[in-house]
Amino acid sequence: MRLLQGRVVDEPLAERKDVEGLLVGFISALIEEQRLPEPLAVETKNPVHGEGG
Amino acid sequence: MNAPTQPSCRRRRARCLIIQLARLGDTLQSLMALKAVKQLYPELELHMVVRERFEAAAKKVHWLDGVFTLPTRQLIGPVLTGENTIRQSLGDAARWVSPLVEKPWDFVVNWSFSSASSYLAGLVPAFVKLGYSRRTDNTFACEDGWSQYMQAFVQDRVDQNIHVTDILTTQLLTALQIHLGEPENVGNNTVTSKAFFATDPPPREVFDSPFTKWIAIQLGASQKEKTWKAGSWARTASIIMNNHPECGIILLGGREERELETAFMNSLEADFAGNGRVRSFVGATDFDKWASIIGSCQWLFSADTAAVHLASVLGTRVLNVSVGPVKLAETGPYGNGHYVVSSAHEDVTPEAVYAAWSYGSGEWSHNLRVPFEKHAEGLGIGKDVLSNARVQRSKIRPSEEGGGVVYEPMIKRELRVGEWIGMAMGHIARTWYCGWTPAVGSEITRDLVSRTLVQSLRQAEKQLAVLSRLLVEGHLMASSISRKSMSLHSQKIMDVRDRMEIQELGAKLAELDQHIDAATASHVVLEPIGKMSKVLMHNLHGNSLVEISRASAAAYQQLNHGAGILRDWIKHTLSLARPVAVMDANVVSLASRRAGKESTT
Repeated sequence: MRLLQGRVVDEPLAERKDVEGLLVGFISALIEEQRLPEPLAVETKNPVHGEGG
Repeated sequence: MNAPTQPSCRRRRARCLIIQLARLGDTLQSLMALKAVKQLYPELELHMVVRERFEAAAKKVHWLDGVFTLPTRQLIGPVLTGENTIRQSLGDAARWVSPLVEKPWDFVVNWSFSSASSYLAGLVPAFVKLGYSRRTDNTFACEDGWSQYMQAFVQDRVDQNIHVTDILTTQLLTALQIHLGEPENVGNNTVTSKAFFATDPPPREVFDSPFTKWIAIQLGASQKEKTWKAGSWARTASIIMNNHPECGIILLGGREERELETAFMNSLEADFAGNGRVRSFVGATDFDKWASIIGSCQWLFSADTAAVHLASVLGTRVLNVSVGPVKLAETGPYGNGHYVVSSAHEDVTPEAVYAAWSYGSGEWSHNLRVPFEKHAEGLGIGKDVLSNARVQRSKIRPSEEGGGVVYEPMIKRELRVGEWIGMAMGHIARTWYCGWTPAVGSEITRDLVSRTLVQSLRQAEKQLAVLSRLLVEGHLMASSISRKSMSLHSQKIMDVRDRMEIQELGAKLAELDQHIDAATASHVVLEPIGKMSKVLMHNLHGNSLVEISRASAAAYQQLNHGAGILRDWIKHTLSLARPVAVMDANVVSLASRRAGKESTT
């Protein structure tokens, strides 16, 4: 069920987040995508078991 | 601080924001999925974020409640030219984002599957999120099943056979069913329609003859290697016009495709060059004109371009020449009765394309009862011309058989290992995320199983046994960590022995993961399990050791479930290839055959 319902985050408040960090990430990733022919792959890092692919 | 918002998802009039920052083809596929959703949940408020370049399509559908346009050039142009630093551009970015974040959404659905879009999805407040996003610490999050499937399989180029439009539709509909309840309308209204977009009718001078059957040819493709030669299109057009005087050709393409237009005209048989049966609109169409022309043609011929998706939503039949690195099952034309021609080794031939089109356009007379190869033979196109060709016809499968679009082969060919993996992975996904389990291998018949496939599966079977044992061990070990951490009074202050025990279990689990990596890398059939393992382990959800170790145990269980289905597929396929004893009643002895012959002579 958890896999199907989506991430229930209930996050009404933007101020809870690192808005500046997210904006910087957004603009930086847009620039990277502009420079690359294919969209950027997202990072995969395993928090429990170490680095992933 | 504002007061916490009550989840409003229980209301049918929920607000849903779709983020689609990919290209036009993806935008069109998203619109098709959204139309299906809107038909089932008519009160759902749908808003969409799209790139400025592709906004025309989203703005031309009347059932979207709002379209937000991302002005990419305006936001990043000054940074690219060095006028601004990223920090200096944040003000513009914040101003653009502000209408999206002023009121929480019930659902934010990110269908772009890209890094940039994940930051935007992280910024926008919502009750439920689907697709890529960011956690509160800005790390990447992909926590719903279908998005994990997109990341591990679709984006990592694993063979799988579920169309992207079907993935998007199922993902959103399942979440809506959970949060909003069953849909009110369960009718079978078609999604595709000539009136999908509110565009003007095509100019009269384009379709001035009511007796001409127009075929649009989209020249070019998004990548050079996906482009079919202009000369081959011209040869196909010549064959059609020579044999079908009722047909005319309309050329379509962007401004950058004028060279292809010239090459096409130069290769066309001289008789057709200036007689009005070939009309070119290359570089002369905006979205409205492009859509209205394709919507008014009987067929669209195209390589892998957004035009294929545009024709699909408009209900115009497609003949897709699939060349280069294209995954047909994921992004081919959507709907019933489209044709796809590809080639196993060499280039696709115009003769094979003509045979496929004439077979498709004559369906009303032969009703698919005439074998394709016999039809081609009747046209004088021999088996040698078709020896490397693959011709497939699209079909929407009934929901009791799993639903979605499938591509049925018109020429039977033995299964390639990749195709077999695609079928097995599609089955695994349906079992994981749809709760619907089709019969194992029902799509495979004995004549499709080649010796190469059998050899490959025999090797995979051995490695799979090792992998399954490792996954069971991983599940047990993660469960042990969970039990151990539950018995602790505190997660932070603990006995040195307890800490050492947990650390030891953690180290063993890390070692086990390396063995799992090695096992999945040992055979192409097992690689998808390894890729899914990485995605699942990255997305473990939990705030404490107990929660994370529980999630970890569940991930190993899910992977082992998938490995079990894979094992069933291998067993089933190998059983098909096994020699079968002939029933006594069917045995005719040589002596009796001889006797029979003698008596007739």
